Amino acid sequence: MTRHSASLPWPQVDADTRSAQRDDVVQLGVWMLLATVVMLFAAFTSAYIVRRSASDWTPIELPWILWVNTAVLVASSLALEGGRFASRQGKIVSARHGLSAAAGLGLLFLAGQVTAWRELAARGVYLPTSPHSSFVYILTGVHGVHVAAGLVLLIYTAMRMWNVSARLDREAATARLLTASATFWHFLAALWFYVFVLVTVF
Amino acid sequence: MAETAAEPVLEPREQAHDEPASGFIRRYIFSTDHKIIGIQYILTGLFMAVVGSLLAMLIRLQLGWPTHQWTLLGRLLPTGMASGVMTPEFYLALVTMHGTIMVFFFISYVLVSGFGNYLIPLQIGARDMAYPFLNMLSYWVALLSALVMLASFFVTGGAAAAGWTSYPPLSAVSSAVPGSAWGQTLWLLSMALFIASFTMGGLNYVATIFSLRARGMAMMRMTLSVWSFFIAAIMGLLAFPPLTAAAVMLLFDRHFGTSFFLPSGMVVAGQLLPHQGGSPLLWQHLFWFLGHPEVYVLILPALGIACDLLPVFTRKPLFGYRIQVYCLIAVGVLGMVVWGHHMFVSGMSPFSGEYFSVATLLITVPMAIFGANMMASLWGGRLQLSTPMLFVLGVIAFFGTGGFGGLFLGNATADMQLHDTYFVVGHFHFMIGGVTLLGTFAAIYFWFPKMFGRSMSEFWGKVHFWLTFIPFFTVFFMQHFQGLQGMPRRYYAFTSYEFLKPMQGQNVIISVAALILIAAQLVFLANFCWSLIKGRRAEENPWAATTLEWTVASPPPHGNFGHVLPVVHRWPYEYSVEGSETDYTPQTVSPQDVPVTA
Repeated sequence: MTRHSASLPWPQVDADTRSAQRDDVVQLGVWMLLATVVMLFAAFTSAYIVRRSASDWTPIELPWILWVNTAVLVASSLALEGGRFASRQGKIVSARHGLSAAAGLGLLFLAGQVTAWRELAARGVYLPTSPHSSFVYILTGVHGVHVAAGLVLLIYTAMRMWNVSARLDREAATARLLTASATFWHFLAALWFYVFVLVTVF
Repeated sequence: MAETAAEPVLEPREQAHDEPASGFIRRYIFSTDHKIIGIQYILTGLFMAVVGSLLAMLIRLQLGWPTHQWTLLGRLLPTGMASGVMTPEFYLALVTMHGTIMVFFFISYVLVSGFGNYLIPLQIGARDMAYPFLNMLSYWVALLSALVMLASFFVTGGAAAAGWTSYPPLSAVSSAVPGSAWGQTLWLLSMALFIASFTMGGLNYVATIFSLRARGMAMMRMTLSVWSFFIAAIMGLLAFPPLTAAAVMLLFDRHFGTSFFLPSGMVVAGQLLPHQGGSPLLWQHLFWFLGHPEVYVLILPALGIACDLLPVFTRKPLFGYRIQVYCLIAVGVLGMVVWGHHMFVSGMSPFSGEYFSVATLLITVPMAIFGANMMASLWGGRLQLSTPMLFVLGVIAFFGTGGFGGLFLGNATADMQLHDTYFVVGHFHFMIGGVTLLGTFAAIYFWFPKMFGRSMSEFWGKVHFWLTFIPFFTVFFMQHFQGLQGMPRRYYAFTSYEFLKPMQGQNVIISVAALILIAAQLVFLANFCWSLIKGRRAEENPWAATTLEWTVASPPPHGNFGHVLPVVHRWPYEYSVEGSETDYTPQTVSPQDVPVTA
């Protein structure tokens, strides 16, 4: 009853093609994940806009270190791209250095965000001080949680890069992971721009 | 054409698939096999359904006999029903948790996560989900979410009591009602976990359907079940994260003094709250941005599954397959932009109200076409009234009845009158209660042989159907009329209001019917458990169905399809094709053997 028609002359598919297909599946997942994060921040934005119109909105002065943090995150993204470029050229040592630098700068960014919080607190600006300060703390916090997750991914990828063995399938998996973590990491940088503009300008 | 021996041809989408993990724990507990995960979801969901039904039983005991002293229950529930009479606070916790558990932890787990996981790879010809590890993680986070929700019954103040919608200020002020103490915090954490779990599952559904379909399985050859899971997953991925944002803000309002949802000048228990400037309406928007798509996430799979079962039990193709797909897509799109119809009485601008009315009523167009196609699928068929088919017919009946009530509620003018009455309770119980419940049962009776290799008892299945269908219809059909008479929902007792006193008789009838309905589920549970152990052995394809899962053993082996993935030559509803020896043609039969009709 069951006929699998396996004798039909379908073209055979080699391991490279299958690996490329797996690349697509993983990238698809990453982009869908990004869509859910976009929706999360869309909700925060709509809340921000609604809350902004209330009469008790008093803007707070933002710590200048946020500008430094922005630069650090951009540098981190650039280092990561440098690492990826090197890995495409087959320069595995430079690739490892690029990735490690990206992860280090990511850590620095998180430390900078915590410093910004401490600076606000030292000035007496706390979570409930004004709706603006509530949003600043929560938006930077939620973004920071995502950065921390991206950092875990980045450090794991860097460790894989350090251990790339001679096994081809393992290297394909590492390359896949590298692309996925880079997509997520650059997205987080773009998301930070968005959050920063929202709390600074609006 | 003779059966050809399977040559080891490398299939294009063949993933490297590991051998089945050895050891009981890796194989059945921490398994990455989509079938095991699906069954884990189904069993967890059924357990939560038992809890949710017991809560419903307590609710109906209270509404039917509000002053009666239930001595035994008083002993079992010393805080909520001390001396045997329920406290109003406990009643509020009951309705909150009944709604939450049934929507998020029963229907969602069994129908969307359970059957979604089980069916998608089998029906599209894949060996597993696209991300098996993420899939396993999704289940364990889901289980944690359910446990956190159950734990909230046992904390100080008891479970959350602000309704399944958790509107502030009730949900934001810890002293507002006992359940708003720790119960509400756990509710919010549990929901955040639920959303995380659903996101992992939804990513899997979409990626699997996009990337891992067998050769020849075009999108327009997928079953409507798979289509409905696909649309539901996309809706969930886009609509659920905003509630995470809202939950974060509500937690901060509750514990850290912010004022996102709390307005100025709130006085609770004689004390002026320090909050100012927040907007409770903001929560309502964010909640319903999740809440409304959520009802489609639940009902679309029930409808998709019903469409898949109709051809099997009428022995003719489904009517209007393409239109059904387009309707699902249209409902998916429209369902994302009509959340405001839950808020017509919130004081929204009449222009917004008009928009939400029109958009909502637009949904009736694809949904009415969908229902009409289901009925047209019955026309001229050879109806076989097996248990799954009875439940499918029940789905159509409930969908029609409940959907009709939706016309009134979607219209702002009528909704002003009906909002927060039992008309609403009756309506949504028919739709996300009844359609999904009967759809779930249809799915369980239909795929039980595939899942466990044994069949459920037909006789007890039919008994279960009639004892479910008739009491369910009685309860919720009558509630529509209670609503028309002005009976408000969420009230703890209707004896204190002069105009509601004459309705007590109706409440008793509804309560009796509800208790029969709940008791009837014991028939199902007994049949389920008995059939697991002693049920008749099921062969590969007991229903003579056409889709891919019926071409493999029952239960299917790890990796689903043996050495070579199936090749698909036709759509899933190839019944009674001229030129075929049998009245059904599986999707894998080649066009040289039987002509392809679609």
